Amino acid sequence: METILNISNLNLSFISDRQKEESLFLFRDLSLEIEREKITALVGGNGAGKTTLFNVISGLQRGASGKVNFQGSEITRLSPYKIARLGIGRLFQGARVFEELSILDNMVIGAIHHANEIPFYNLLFYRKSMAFEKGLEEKAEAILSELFGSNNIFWEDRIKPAGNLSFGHQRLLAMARLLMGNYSLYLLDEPTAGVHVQFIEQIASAIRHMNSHSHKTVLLIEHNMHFVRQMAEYCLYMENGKIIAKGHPNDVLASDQVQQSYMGI
Amino acid sequence: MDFLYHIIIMIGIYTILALAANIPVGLANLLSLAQAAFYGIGAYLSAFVLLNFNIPLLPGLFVVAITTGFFSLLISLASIRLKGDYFILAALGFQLIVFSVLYNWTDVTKGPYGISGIPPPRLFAFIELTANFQFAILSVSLAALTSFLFYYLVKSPFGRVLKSIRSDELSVSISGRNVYQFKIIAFFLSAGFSASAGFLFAGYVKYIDPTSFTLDESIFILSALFIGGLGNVKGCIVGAAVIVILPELLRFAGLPDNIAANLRQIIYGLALILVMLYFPKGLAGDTMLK
Ligand SMILES: Nc1ncnc2c1ncn2[C@@H]1O[C@H](COP(=O)(O)OP(=O)(O)OP(=O)(O)O)[C@@H](O)[C@H]1O
Ligand SMILES: [Mg+2]
Repeated sequence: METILNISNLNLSFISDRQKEESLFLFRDLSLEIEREKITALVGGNGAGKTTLFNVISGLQRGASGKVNFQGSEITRLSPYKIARLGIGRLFQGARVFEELSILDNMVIGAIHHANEIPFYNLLFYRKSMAFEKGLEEKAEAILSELFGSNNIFWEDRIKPAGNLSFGHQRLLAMARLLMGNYSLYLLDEPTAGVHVQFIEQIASAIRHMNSHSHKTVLLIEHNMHFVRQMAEYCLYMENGKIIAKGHPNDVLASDQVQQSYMGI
Repeated sequence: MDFLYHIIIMIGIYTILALAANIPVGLANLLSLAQAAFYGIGAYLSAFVLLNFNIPLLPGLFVVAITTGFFSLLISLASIRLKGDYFILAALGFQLIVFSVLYNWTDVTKGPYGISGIPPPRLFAFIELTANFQFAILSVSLAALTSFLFYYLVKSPFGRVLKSIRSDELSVSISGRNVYQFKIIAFFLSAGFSASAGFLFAGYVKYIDPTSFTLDESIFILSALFIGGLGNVKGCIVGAAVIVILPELLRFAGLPDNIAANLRQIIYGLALILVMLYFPKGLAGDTMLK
C-alpha cells in the first residue's frame, strides 16, 4: 500500500521549552501514515488535538518537532501557501467562505495562484487574462453542476455575496471551492458539524467525488460516527497525543479502548 | 474663477490620495497612518525632479511614483508579515520619522523654510503648465486616470485576492497565495499613487514645506476615505469633495479665518462621527471598516 502522508515523531507543547512537563504535551511522539487514494477518518475526543494536527500539516502551527512528509518530500517548516501549492487542500472547521465576495469569486479563488493575479496583468494581456478567467468560471460551473445538479442555486446566484447563503450552503460552497484547487490530499475538519441533515448526503457525495472520481486522498475529522462508518475505509483514533488505534472504522470504533474513552461506555 | 479652479485642483489631489489609501485600507485591511508621508516624499521628490531635470510630466511622474513606492518597503519589511497592530505602529513610526527628516535635514530639504520656486511641470517638453485652469485640467485628468486604474484593480483577479484577504486571511494562504507578497504590492501601489498627488501639489503650489505632510494630514486623508466610504471609486470622490468643500462653506458663512481654522477640526471630527453613525459604509462605500 502506498502512503501519501507520513508524520513521524511529532511533539508539540504550547508552553516554552524551559517549563515543559510531560503532561502538557499535546502531541507526544505522534506518528501516522495515510494511504493514497483512500478516505481516512481521524477521530478523538474534544480537545484531543485533531485540528491542531491539521494546522501542523498545513503549516499554520509552528513549533512542533518531528517530520511531516508529503508525497516523498519534507514539508515540515514550509509556509502554508507553499504547502497548498504542493497539493494539500484544507477545509476549516466552521463555515469560512469569503462572505463579501460573490459565490463565483469564492469558487475562482479556490484555484491555485496564477499569473493573472499580478496587478494590471489583465490590463496588459487583456485577451489572455479574459480567456483564463473564462476557463476558471467554466471549471467552477462544471464542479457545481457535477456536485449539485445542473440547476443548482450556487450557479444561479453566482453573482450574489456568499455571506447570504445559509450555514449549510456555505459549507457546501467551501467543499466545492476546495475542488477548484486540484489537490492530491484533502484535509476536512468536521465537514458535517452544525450542518442540517438535509445537506449531509450532499457533503458525502462531494467527498466521494473527491475520492473516487478524481482519485484523491481524503483525511477527515468527524464526530459523527455514523458518517465515519459510511464514508471511511480507515479510521485513526487519537488520544493523549498519539494515534492509539488504526484500522477499519467498525473495528476501531468497536475496540474496548475507544469504547471506554470516547463513547464513555 | 481662480477660486473654482483651486477647489477643483484640490478635489483632484484628495481624490487621488483617498484612492491610494483605499488600496491598503479598503481592500487589504491594512490601516495605514503613513499616507501623508508618501504624499510628502512624492512632493519633495517632484520638487527635486522639477528643479533639476528638464523631463516631461509623465516620465517625471512615473519616476517619482516608483521611487516613493520603494520607500513603502521600509514599512512592509519592518513589520514582518504585515500583521494588524504591528503594521499600524510601523506605519505610524514611519510617518513621524519622515516628517522629522523633512523638518530637520535642512541641507537637503531646507527644513521648516521649505522649498520654493518649483518650476511648473511640462507636458511633452514644450507646453508649460502655468495657468490654474491648465492645472485644473491636469488634476482632473490624473484623478480620472487614477480612478480608472483603481477601478480596474478592484475588478481584476489581483483585487479579488485583496478583497478575500480582507475577508479571511488564513483561507487565502491555504489556497496557495502568498498573502504577505500581495500586501507588499498593495502598499507599494498605494505609496506610488500618493506620490503622484504629491507631484500635482508641488507643481501647483510651487512651494512646499513639511507642515503639509504631518500625521494630521494622514488622518485627514483617512477621514476623506471613511467619510466617502471604502472599497470603490465613488466613495473617494465624494469624500474628497466633502473635505475640500466643507471648510470653504465655513468661510462663506462669514466666520473670521482664525475661528474657521479652529472650527475646521471640530467639523471634520463631527462629520466623521456622524457618517460612522448614520452611514456605516460611508456616504458611498462598498464595505464596512473591519
Ligand atoms: N495556539 C494554542 N495555544 C494554546 N493552546 C492551544 C492552541 N491551539 C490549541 N490549543 C489547545 O490544544 C487542544 C487541542 O485543540 P484542537 O482544536 O486541536 O482540538 P480538536 O481535537 O480539534 O477538538 P474539537 O473536536 O473540539 O474540534 C485544546 O485544548 C486547545 O485549547
Ligand atoms: Mg477541531
